[in-house]
Amino acid sequence: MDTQRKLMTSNDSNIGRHTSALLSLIYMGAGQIANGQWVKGLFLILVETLVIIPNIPLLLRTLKGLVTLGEVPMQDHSLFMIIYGIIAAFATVFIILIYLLNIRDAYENGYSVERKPKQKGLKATFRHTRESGFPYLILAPGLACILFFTVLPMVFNIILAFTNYDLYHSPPKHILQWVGFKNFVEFLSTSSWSITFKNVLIWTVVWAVLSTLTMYFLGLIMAVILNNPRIKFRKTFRTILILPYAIPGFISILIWKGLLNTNFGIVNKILAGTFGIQPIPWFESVFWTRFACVLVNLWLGFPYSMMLITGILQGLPNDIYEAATVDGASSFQKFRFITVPLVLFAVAPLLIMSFAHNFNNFNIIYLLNDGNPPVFGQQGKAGGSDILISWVYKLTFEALKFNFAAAMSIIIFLLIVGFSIYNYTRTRSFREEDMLR
Amino acid sequence: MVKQKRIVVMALLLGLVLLFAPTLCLSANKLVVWESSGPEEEWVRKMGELYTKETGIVIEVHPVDQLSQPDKLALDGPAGKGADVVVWPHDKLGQTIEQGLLMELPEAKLDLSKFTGSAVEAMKYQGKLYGIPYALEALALVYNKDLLPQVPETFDELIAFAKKFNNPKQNKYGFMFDMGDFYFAYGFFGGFGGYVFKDTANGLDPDDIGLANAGSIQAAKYLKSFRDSGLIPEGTTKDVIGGLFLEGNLMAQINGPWAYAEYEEAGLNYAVAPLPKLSNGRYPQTFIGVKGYYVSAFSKNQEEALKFIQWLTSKENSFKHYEDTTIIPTRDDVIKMPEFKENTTIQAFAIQASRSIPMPNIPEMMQVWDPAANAIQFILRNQGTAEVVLPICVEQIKENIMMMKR
Amino acid sequence: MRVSNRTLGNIKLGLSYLVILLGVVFVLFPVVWTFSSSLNPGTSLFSSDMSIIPKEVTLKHYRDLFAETNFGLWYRNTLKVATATSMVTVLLVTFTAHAFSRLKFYGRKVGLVAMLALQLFPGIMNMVANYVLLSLVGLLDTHLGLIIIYASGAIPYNTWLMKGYMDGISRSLEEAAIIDGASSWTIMWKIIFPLVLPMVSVIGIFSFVAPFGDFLFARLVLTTPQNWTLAVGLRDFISGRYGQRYTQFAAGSLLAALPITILYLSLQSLLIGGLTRGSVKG
Repeated sequence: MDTQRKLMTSNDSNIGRHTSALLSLIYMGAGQIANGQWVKGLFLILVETLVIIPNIPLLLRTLKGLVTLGEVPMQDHSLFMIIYGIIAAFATVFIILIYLLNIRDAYENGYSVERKPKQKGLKATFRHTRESGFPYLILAPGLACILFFTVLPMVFNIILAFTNYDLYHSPPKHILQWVGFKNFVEFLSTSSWSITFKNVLIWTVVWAVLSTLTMYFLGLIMAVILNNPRIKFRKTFRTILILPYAIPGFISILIWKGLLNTNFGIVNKILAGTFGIQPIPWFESVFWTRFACVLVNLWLGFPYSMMLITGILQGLPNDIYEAATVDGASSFQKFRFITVPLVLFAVAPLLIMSFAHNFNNFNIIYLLNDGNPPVFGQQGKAGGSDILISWVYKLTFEALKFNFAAAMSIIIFLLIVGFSIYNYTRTRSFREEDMLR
Repeated sequence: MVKQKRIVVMALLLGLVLLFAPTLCLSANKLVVWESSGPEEEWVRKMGELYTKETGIVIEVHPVDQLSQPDKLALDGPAGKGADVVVWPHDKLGQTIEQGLLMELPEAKLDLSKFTGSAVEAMKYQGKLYGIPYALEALALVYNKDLLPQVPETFDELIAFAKKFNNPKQNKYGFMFDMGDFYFAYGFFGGFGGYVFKDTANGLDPDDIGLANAGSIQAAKYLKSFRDSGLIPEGTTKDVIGGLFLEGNLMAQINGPWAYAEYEEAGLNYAVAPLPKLSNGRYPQTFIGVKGYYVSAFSKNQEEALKFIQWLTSKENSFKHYEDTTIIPTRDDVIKMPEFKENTTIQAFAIQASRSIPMPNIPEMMQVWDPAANAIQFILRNQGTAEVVLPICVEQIKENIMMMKR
Repeated sequence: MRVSNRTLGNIKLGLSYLVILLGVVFVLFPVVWTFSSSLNPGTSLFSSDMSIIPKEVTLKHYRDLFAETNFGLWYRNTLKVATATSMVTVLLVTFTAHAFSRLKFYGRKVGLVAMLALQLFPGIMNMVANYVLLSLVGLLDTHLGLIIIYASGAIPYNTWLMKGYMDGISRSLEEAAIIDGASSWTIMWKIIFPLVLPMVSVIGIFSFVAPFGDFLFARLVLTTPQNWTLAVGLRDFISGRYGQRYTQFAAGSLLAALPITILYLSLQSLLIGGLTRGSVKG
């Protein structure tokens, strides 16, 4: 009561911060005008009048296009409508955000008007935005990129999962229709595939684990050995061992494919000639194809983990090792009880990321043997080395059932996120335990 | 309020994009053609200039890879930026027609009598014509004349010769082809009486698949005999075949016109012949691939486009096409021209083409390649007999097709 | 002790050298083979004699790369795209990492993990979406379009790396700068950035290398062969159903791998240093 009377007498252009906020809600800039900030208020009014309001019909139309997916075949292209619609949705959210900020600005300035006579003019606001808004400013370009090229395709994908987009329903000849959860139900209910799905899933998990562990293990061994100061030419060796990482992956995979040809590849010829081993059916047997995938992946990936772990090793404190030597520990014991846990601790989150990455490692499976060898009796196009994502690709994308492909990619995503969270929480507790210890 | 500025910019951008999406319509005096860059593109451009002199219509050629054209047309067409004339291999026809990309051609008004029958068939979908063929690719027997002076009449005789020459320990092989590629293996299936989709008056029937009938089983067994006799071991890829042939260590192979450019360069004494007769008295019925000119469904100058592609595939222009790019022409009257009499290679392909059928161009065909190739692998690897594996393969194909149509 | 410590040490040393040797053989084996195939006349990698030096050695494929194909052009294109991607990525990542590491804002805690999680989404349909997007803004068949997409994809993981590295820089420097009246912009570029240069090199190199290897997306976007990058061009040698030129592919691949290898070799210590402090929290 007291304050109110004080306020009412202090500045006669002040009408209270709540009213300012309310005014700004009704029309951007109105509250600012009420607060006595003419320039800023006018600017905001102009923005709303010239930019936002004229575009509202456009926004609404585009959003409507997202819902209807088009009306006239050959003229309305459903895919475009979806993308436009998503962009319009982004724009709408953005506008709402600005609007809210505008209201908050009116509220706060109304508040500061109540308290002090000096408010923030346009120039001051610019300056203030530059400082307190600085994080948002510098995040903006990166965020925009991610918004348009990661989030938008993902939303696009999710939307398509609920439409009937396939060969026989392709824009622009056809307008896409919403089909609800039909895609998920139909795909998952084809019972002949449930066994295949299980098999493929098991191998995918095994593959992700094996590929990640072998890569890090070899990297660890190499890093530890090359960390030994008694070895000469360490830098040269490290240099050579980085080579696989330097050569573009798809090239190396194709080369390995040629090397491992059963009857004409050099690997089998050498094995036969030098060791007298029968030709290994690299790409004909399920087991050996899987072995080859892990092997080639190891070749491609261990340089990275080697580099990483070398860095870690170089950062480890020496005193622990010295203390251990004094206590009479052998180098193997030092390795096992000091090096390994410390490295594991440091590398754990990366292992999880690696696992998730390999879970979806379409490239190597596809390029090495396209998921083959075909397994006799197994339904649903899954080959012996197919992982979840390559199998889904064959089933859906190659049949031009884009809607199924989109639906399954959502399911795979949920699976991976699930696995990752599970593993992450386990490492989290592992790490926290370690710290407590 | 830097953020407000950004909305302005964004709104403007969006507005600009939407404004320019529908372009101004093309003038009636211009045709846009898409063709893969290289000799083909240059040829069309050259002919385009001639056409302009004759008719005054400007022909603009843009280099777009044939296999990328469908996707590009699907996006550019509705926006008004698509080409009027497009080109791609015929087996994509069904798929692209379902997507609504091509205009049906008035077959009755065109005279296609001089064209190779199977090539024209390849341009039809569900009984309707969609393109005019200009080139075909066929498979034939490519052999080393030093090792095989004359091609025998029957396939069994060829195999007998091959077995005599075959000596893996010395890296010598008599007869090879990539059995893992159904495109190459199909010749035997067709020859013995098998078929992929039954040909009816209305086009191919996707529900009638003949890959498990008696003829197919016989063909599969014949293929297995190649593996069992050591002629074609596991791992025989196109790369291996090419290498062996170039070294002079391979007597004969099944291959197409893309293969022998390097044999020429290397000065190898090679020759091309149609495939010999099978044991049932019929010739292997290989697949041919046909390339044709099509008219875009979005084109605003469809009449003109049709006239252009007819002109492009006339008898004399077809011959010029062969001269410039060494394609195998799709006109019988061209192949019978005296200039071709000496070219035994073209004759061989032409003869083989007359015994071939085009790859099925219906979308369902996409679901056939993998199961068929896999089935052959199972049989070759002794994981099942032909009688057991092939019916399962057909079931698989049918299931895949059903999935595609869901 | 019957076996002296010295001998034990020597045995271990010997074993170490053995392991290294095996590793080197493992690594060099395909590389040497590719090289020898590239010297093979003809188009097949396969040759019957299977010796390291082929019977007939020819530099033809290397010559043809430059004389008959657009290899040189593709090389230039790739270098251009790679350099630009690298620079754009470093710029954007510095911005975002700086924000996540040193500044306060809404969504800071969740933001980074959310970004990383988003990347886990299987990108089967990504191609379609990105293709349509680029087509909308007319950036199809341009290098700029490719660069934007490559850089965008590189942001989350590299931001995570850079942030980790930045977290290790003490606050006192910034505090001193603020007292002296420096703006946030100045702090970012004049103080923090110079201190994260090792990580900048790491990110710069990784994002430089990536465009060399991507052929799937580049092939979709770049339709004119004159615009192709190395990956697309090389893939074209061998992707035809028929008429593959494997030996030319081998030659081209080795040449393509060369700059990256040299880059890696010369900046090895920087890489290792940057990688450690960036990705490891311990």
